[in-house]
Amino acid sequence: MSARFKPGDRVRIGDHNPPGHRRVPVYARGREGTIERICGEFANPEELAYGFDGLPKRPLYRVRIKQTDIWPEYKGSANDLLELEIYEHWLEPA
Amino acid sequence: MRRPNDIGGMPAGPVNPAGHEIEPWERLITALVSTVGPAAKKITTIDEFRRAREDLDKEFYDSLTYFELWAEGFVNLMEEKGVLKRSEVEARMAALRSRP
Repeated sequence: MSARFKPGDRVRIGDHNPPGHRRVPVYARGREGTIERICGEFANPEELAYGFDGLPKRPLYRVRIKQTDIWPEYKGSANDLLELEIYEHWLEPA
Repeated sequence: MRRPNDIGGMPAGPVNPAGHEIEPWERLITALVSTVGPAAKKITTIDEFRRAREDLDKEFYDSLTYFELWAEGFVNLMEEKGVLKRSEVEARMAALRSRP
C-alpha cells in the first residue's frame, strides 16, 4: 500500500462541497488535524454508493482534530480531541 | 452539499435517550435489508443503502423515524435495481390494510 501521509503528519481536510454521498461531515471540512494512524486501504465508499467497484482501493487515515478547532464556542477542555476516519483523497498537507 | 443526514453541529433539540419497543415490521425491514445485502444476495452494498436514505428529500427525511428511513430507502433502492416497484409495495400495503 502506498500511503501519502504517515502518523504525526499535519493535514487539512478538503473544504469541498461536491454533490452525492460523501464520507466527510460538513463540520469537518476545511479543518486541520494530525494523522493518528493509517487504518488500511479500502474500496472507495463514495463510488460503491453508486454501484461502482470503488477500485483502486484508497488509504484511510484516522485524523485527530482538536475540538476547539472544530467548534469555536467549545466549552470543554482545550485538550479534547475528535478522531475521524478520512480517505486520502480528502486530505492535503497542512 | 449538505445532505439530510449530515446535521452535526446544527441547531437541534435535546436528544431523547429513551428506548422503545421494537415493532415486528422493524424486525422485518432489518431482515429484508440483510437479505439483499453483501452477506446474502449481494444485490446492494451498505454504501448504496446509506446513499439511498440520504437521497430522500430533507423535509421527508426529517419526518421519518429510524426504521421508516430504512423502509423508504430500501424501496427506492429496490426500484433502482429493478427488483420491485414502489407501486407494487403500495398495492400490497393497501390490500393488507383492507383485509377484514
